[in-house]
Amino acid sequence: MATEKQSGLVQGTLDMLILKTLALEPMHGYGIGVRLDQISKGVFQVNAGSLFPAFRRLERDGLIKAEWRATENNRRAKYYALTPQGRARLARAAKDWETQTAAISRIMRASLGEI
Amino acid sequence: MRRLLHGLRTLLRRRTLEEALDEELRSFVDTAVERHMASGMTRHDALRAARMSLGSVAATKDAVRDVGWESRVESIVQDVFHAFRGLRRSPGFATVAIVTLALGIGINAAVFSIVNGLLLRRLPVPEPDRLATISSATALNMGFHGGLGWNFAMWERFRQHDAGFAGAFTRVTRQLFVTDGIDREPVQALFASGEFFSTLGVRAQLGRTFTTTDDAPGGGPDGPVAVISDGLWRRRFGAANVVGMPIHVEGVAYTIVGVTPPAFLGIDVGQSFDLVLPLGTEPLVSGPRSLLDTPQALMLQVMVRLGPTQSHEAATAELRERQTEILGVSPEQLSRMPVWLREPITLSPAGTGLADILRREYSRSLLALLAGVGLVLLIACVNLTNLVLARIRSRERELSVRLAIGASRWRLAQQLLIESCVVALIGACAGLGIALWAGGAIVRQLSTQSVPIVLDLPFDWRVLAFTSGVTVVTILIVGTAPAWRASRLVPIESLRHERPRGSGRFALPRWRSASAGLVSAEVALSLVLLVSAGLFVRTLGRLADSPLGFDSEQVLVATVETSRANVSPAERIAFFHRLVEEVSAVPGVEQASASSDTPLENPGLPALDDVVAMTIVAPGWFRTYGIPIRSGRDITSADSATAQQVVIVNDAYVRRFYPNESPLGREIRGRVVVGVTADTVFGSIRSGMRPRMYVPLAQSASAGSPDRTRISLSLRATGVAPGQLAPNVAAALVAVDPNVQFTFRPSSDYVNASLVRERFVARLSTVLATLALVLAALGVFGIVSFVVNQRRSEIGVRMALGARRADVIRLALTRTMTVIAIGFTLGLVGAALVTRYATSMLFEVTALDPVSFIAAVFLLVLAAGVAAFVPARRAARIDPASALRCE
Repeated sequence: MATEKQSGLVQGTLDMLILKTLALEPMHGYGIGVRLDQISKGVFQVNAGSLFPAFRRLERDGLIKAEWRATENNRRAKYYALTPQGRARLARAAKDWETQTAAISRIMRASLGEI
Repeated sequence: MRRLLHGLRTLLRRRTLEEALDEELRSFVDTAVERHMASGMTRHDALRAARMSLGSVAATKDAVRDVGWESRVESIVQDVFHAFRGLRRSPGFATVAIVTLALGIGINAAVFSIVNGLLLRRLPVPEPDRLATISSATALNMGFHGGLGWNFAMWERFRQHDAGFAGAFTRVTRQLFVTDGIDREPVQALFASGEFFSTLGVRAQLGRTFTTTDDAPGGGPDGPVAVISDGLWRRRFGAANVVGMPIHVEGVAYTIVGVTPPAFLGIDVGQSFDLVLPLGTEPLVSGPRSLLDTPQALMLQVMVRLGPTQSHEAATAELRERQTEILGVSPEQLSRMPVWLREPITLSPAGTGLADILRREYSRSLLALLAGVGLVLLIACVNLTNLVLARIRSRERELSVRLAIGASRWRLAQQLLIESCVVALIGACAGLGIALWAGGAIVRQLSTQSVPIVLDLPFDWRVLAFTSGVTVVTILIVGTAPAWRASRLVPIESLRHERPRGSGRFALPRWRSASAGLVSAEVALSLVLLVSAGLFVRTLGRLADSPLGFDSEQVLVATVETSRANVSPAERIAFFHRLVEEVSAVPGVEQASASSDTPLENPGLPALDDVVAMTIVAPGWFRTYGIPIRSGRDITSADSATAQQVVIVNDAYVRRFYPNESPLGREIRGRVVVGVTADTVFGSIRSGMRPRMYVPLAQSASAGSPDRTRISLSLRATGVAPGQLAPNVAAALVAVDPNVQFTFRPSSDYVNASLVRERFVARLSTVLATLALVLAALGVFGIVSFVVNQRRSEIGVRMALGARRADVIRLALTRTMTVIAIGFTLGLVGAALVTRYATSMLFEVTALDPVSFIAAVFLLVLAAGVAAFVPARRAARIDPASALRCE
């Protein structure tokens, strides 16, 4: 909760970001965190305390599935991958997100004359 | 659904999942460490950085667990175990809490189970809600839901016409004797028409029930048959196979054909029955005075079962249309019938059975009682809340530590709430046990020796729902305050100072003022209960002390029915006089006489203001009851049927009709007033002394009661208790004619029975008020003890500086006195507002009776004073040196 506040992550978007990250390739927990950090250029530093509950939530809802695999350094880690439902959810979430952000930015940019 | 399954899987695979999570987190840290080291950190720094990015492992794990609903279940299970451990660690608290709640919930459940048994419970028959009785507006107004009754001819006309009912029957209850040689066992009998069992849908547990075939005049093809109750079957026959066995009822041989199931106690709630006999056989028992042949005997209440598609309204309309036909009169004649027959027939739902008198007498008392036990429970809850708050106070540090290391406030509140739930549930279970016992005990209070009240108090869904409801309310009251308190805890404060420092003022800490308010409430509530109890006790006292005008102590009443005796109507009065003569000769009988009725014999009958009641008495009746003749003369044997018709009136009569002159020699309805007696209570003690006329038995034929077959013999005993006369008197009566039927009851029993309801209310309200008083005293004790313990060191300092003991006591009590004073004020206002609802239950006591109010205040002051003074004195005994050293 505290981490999300720090990084200003909009509530409910973490799940979407994780799904997006996994859409590129299956990944383990730490990797997902690092990837989010990298892609957002350090804007979103997601704490493990938020990541792991999110994994559990997504797994429960059948959006991602997990399997134990060896890492590149030959260490055992739990890899998460998208399920078909997860892919569908991501597509829907992405579309909603675009519609919403487009609307929000229009509102934010609106000048007096337009209203 | 998926979530549900997932949750269940999680619960079952807890261990593996827990391990997997651990491993995942470990691998997270390891991977992170590798990365950091790869970017050039030392192993130590890398580990540190990894740990920091992970944050609190425990908190993360908690957060992961919290994702599913299953974690809620788990934490509740954990808290339940925790609560049990906590209770075991503090047995004192556990005992007080559970006992308080068990008592509080128990008496509530007990009183409710009686309310349920008397007012709410459906008869244990199929589809009880389709049953209805035939009644009228007047009857319903007077509280007679079963109607005031038809005669047999009306019932016959009704039954012969199919009105679309699924069934209809009539019945009349009678106290009879089962005879076996000279042994006579009183039994409660029902004479019921043949449709009784089929309409109700009651089957025999053994043998068969009887039908319309058996309900023929004098008995059906099997002769007179009897169906006996489970109770009589076990009591008299030891549950043997009785089918086909004979049973003699008032000397008439009946054949037992069946036994009713144990759950069926008849349709009259509060009474049980021993046997059911076909109405057609009633003449065998009653002789020539059978109600089947007596058109004046309007005694048959009719119950119907509505047809499957028949509506209440349709059935009522149909009956109203056929009213004159059923009553067997022309429309002109109808207008001259008693009002309850004249009015349009009204159907009254009878799914809860019939208990007209019992319900009329007790429903108000029971509801008042329910309010009273509710108050007691409220006080118990308040007390317990205080106790729990004090307990939290001592656990504040523990809770603060948990909060500081990351437990959520909700989680703490949940745990405290669950503790309250555990206590309340244990209390509720124990309470049900208490209710089971107390319900029976309370019903026994209602019964008198001669009129046993048998009430089935099953633990059905209503009682369970009520108890659960009460328990939930209890949990809400007791559980909310501590949970709220815990959620407002500021850990840093309670961790910083172990004990609140003295604020200079000898005051309660702020949070404690909530419980001071609770103690005020407690004092107020118990004052209300004390005042109510005072009013009821004073009412009972007033009633018990009010002059009866007669002496019941040594008098035995024998009610004799002579309809089956071998006497012609013309000889009946001579026969009565002969009975009096015979019983007068029994050893131990000082004086005997006869009368049509006796004082307080029918306390249930409403007193009518405009009617002057008349009693028919034989010579010596006034002497038997010790009623003095004020002027003129008593009735003597010279006042024969052929002599001058005379009458004796009482003082109340004179006051009302001859306020300023002597009534002697005056004529009333063709009778000369020859004497004036003192007043006596007759109907009920509440209705007081009313005008009454006494007519000699020998001249009663002209007094509008031809051929009376029932007579009450009153016998004054000397040297023995009145009850001991019974066997010899019985022998004397049987010697005159073996067919007379009789029952005995001491006159004092009539007096007692007439006060049963008042005694019941007074006793129970006293018990409740005592409970409330004790609870309030405990509350006061608790709060003063708390203050004293909190301020131990301060008191030590003050005493070291020279404060006297009296000062210390005064200091300890000042705040408490305010608390109590607020409670008193609220209580007095509350009592004044509440008691007026009880006005109709009081007698010669006003709702604002100063004696009750003063006594209640006095008692409460005394109790609260002792409760406050004991810990205050302990404060004064504090040894300054040791108190300071403690610090």
